[in-house]
Amino acid sequence: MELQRLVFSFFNAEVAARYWPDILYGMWVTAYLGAAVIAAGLAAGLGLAMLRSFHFRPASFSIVVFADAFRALPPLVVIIVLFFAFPYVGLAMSAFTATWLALSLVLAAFAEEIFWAGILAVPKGQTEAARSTGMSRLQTLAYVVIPQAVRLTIPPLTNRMIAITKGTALGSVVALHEIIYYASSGASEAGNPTPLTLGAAAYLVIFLPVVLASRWIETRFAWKR
Amino acid sequence: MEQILQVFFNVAILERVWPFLWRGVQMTVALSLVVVPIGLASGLAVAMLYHLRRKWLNRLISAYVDFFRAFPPLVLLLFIYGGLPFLGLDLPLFATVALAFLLNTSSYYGEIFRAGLESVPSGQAEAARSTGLSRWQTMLWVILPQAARNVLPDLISNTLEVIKLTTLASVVGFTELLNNARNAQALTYNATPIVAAALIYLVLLWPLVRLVSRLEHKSIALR
Amino acid sequence: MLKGIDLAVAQGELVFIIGPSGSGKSTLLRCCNRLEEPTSGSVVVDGTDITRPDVDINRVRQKIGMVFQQFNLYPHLDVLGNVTLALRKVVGKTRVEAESLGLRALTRVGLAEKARAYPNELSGGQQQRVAIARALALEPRILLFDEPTSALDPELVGSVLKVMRELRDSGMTMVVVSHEMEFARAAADRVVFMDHGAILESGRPEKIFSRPEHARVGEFVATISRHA
Repeated sequence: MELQRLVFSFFNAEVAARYWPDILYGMWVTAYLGAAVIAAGLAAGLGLAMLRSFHFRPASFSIVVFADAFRALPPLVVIIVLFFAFPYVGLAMSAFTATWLALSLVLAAFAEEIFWAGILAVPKGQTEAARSTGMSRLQTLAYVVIPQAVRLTIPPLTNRMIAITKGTALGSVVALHEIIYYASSGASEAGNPTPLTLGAAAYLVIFLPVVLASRWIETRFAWKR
Repeated sequence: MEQILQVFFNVAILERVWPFLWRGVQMTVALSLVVVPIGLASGLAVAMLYHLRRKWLNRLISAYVDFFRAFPPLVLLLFIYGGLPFLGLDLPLFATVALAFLLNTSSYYGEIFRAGLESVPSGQAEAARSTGLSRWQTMLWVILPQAARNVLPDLISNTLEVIKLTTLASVVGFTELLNNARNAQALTYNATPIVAAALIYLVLLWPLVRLVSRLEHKSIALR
Repeated sequence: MLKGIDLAVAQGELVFIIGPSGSGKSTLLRCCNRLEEPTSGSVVVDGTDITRPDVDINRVRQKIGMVFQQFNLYPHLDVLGNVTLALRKVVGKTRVEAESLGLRALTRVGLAEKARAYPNELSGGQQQRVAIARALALEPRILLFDEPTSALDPELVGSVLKVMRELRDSGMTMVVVSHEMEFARAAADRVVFMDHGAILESGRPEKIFSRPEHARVGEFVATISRHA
């Protein structure tokens, strides 16, 4: 297996030149989708956890059912059901919407559980002290409990966020025009795996800094008590 | 309402496609039974290599782990599936899929075991060695049991992720549950097969989710 | 479980509550600001029945200060932040107003120079004094102390008791659950003994400590004094 053949297959400059504009566009879609998923998923997860802390039985029960369901379902299955099944009852959505909705629901479920565990871990005395100075339940949550809970949740949360945003690649299964979509169609078209190499490199460019940043964040937020 | 039942919960169609779905479940289980144990073993091996504390080795291992943590598993799968033939390698589909998943999961299991080994106080090894136990015996009987117990929630949580990962194999035509469900849906022009598949995943995986939840609560509270 | 409690505290009084563990002293104290809910009866503070369902408990709590055994300072805020949080969010003071009120409270407990420090940089006694300042900043009508010195190293207890004595001398109404008998002897107006959820005896410290009516009280005082 000569090196030359290897380079010709996987690092073919001529093929790369043809397909890199598409890959670049795909990178934009991936990044945009990832950011949208993180924003929606974290906001929903935090909101649900705060709602759960008011101990209203029907609400808490629904939240637990939601969280369990979307942590058990594989994200790809959720995307497929949203994109292929819902049109049968008149609820058609674009590949982008289906992927964004599916991944946000999954992230919200994991985030809610992580935030909830963090809230539970804040000592009860903190709530008592805040309430005894006249702060309402919502104020106590916002200014005393959540700030402390968040520090406990950063390591598991960053891990989970990274795992789920890598799921943006799953959108290609419903023909979302992101990186791997262009990479694999390009590779089939050209009969050459170079576009796949480009695609892989594109993902690394986006996610490797994120992974390294998360390592740094984890060490910085180690709780000093 | 009537329409929803027809389209999503059609009993007649379900009866027809059930054999397909059941075969899919079996393939999902088979794939999981291969990837999880090998992933665990290789992850443990990676962590123990890290434990040897050779600077250059550790840097290599960190790079390996970060690389595969940054790489979306689907991309890895497609890359290996599409690229292996060009290396002259013609692996059966099962092996290709298993290889791609192994590379991904061994890095995650490796990280978990590494944290587990680090969580055992060094005094434990000192005490064991001072009673005459060899390095291997210390690792086997003193360090590993404690390390595994400390990171059990993360191990189970990651195993849950691996089982969910098997759905990606459907993209390259591997006949696991999601793949068969989608084919059945295309053939019957009805969404019931994929809804049924989703429910099957829920039923199979929900107990694991509950277990992870309970373990996670305990471990965050003790932090 | 409390049984048949009938207790009245006059303005400016320092009432000490003593008794064996499990006697309900903390529960009684926590009923005073409804951190525990009484199942029957009422709690009247400064003329207001705070157990009525239509009462705004958050407004009422501004007038009742509480100091906890575990201090419960907010670790993510500095000392001044701890003291001014309620002033800003509950009373609605601006940051500038709140900080000047907060510094005044910190000066009363002798810790103004630590305003920018974080709780984990302070000793236990300092932390508890900050907790007292946090309660004082809201200018409460009454201060409740739940075993304020029990979690402190012996050398640090004195600094907290000093602050408590100064508060009493300035006319603050205080209810204190504690084992600090010397302090009770010196500063309390009234000592209340509780056992099994009920008030067994109540009266001036000299009477309770030297000539109690109930033998149980005498036994308890003797045991505590021996361990002091």
